[in-house]
Amino acid sequence: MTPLPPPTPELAQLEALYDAHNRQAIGLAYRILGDLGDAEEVVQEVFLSAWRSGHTYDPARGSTHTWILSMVRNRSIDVLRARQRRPTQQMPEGIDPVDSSDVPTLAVSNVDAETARVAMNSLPPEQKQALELAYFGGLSHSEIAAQLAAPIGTVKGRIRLGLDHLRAAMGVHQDLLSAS
Amino acid sequence: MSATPVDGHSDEFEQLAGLAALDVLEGDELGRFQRHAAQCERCQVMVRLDREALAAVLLVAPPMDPSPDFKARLMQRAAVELAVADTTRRGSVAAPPTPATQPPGPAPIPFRPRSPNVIPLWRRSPWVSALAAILVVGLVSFGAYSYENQPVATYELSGSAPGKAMVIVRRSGMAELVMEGVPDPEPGFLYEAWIIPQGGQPVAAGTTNRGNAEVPLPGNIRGTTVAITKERTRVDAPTSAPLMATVVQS
Repeated sequence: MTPLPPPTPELAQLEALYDAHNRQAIGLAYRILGDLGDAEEVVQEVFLSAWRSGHTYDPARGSTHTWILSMVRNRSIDVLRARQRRPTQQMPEGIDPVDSSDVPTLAVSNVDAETARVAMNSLPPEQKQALELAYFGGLSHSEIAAQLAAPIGTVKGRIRLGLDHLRAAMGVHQDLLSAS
Repeated sequence: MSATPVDGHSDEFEQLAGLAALDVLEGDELGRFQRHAAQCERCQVMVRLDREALAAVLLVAPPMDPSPDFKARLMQRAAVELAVADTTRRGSVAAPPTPATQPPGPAPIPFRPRSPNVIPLWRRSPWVSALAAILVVGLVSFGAYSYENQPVATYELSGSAPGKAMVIVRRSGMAELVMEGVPDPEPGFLYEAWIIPQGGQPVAAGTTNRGNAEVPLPGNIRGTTVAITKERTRVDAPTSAPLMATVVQS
């Protein structure tokens, strides 16, 4: 492989972005897709997309790491769904979707990897399984129900309880939902 | 402070909020939740907070090393994009190009169909009396040609287009771009090849309206980037991002 010339300032930005996030991005894409070639294809597109639209990135709205990983997750799910020929569902109006292309819309998350790992591992197995199938597998609740041979209502309940548990374990603004 | 639920809010909508945060809500439930959430502050907040928790779950996947050449491929694509963008930007503000303002370099060479490179010996002379001499000369020439024509390096182009394209550099220093299995461009479009010197502007190297083609690349291409774009007509500066590109070793 040809040694590349010293990067221009623009390329240096991409290189810095890559060096900081590539291993986690590849790990996530591989976790979802199970194929290194597909994972690299997704991650390459994400880095180029992030680099091209870097000027629109607002650090106050989300960490770069989370932003990159969200794009990796969304594009990986798109690839999974394309394999299964299932179209992506549109998001409800009035609720900000997680943008898979260029503009980050995630709230700032102060949760680190270890806290997230502990929180996930603290979930009851059936809740963890339902969440993983939805989040990393891109499956709908009806598909999860079919896969687990469980009633749809049960799957919905497990997902809801799992998310409540996660939020509590991560301390994600529980006060906003504490009184209903 | 807590988010207020709207009248008619129920546990079921909170379940749907979780599915919405996961982007897996579908069918009638999607519309029902959509209408409810538009009025329900609690559901809106719940989706937002669920997403925030899920964003942290992204960190759970164990980090992993990519292929050894992955970074180089990424940087290569970015370098080509920069070069093309720079040229396109300059082209959009500059006066129409004249011969004096065009980038230096050889004139574009049109793509040609793939065909044998050897000139048949019978064309060299119709004279039977010279046949033996011509055969000797021809064989020697062919031998020398074959040696000089040996590929010494190939560089596969990477990019978003399906099919395969590679630059073949021969011992003589001549090079060609070979496209195989690339879909023919849509009617009204063609593929255009570019040679991009390091730090310089793309130089048009030829066009084709087919996905299987071969083009001789003019001049010394060592240390340049070779790229392919899709254009409406042959242009002197690319108007779109490259479909495929590779860096040729210096």
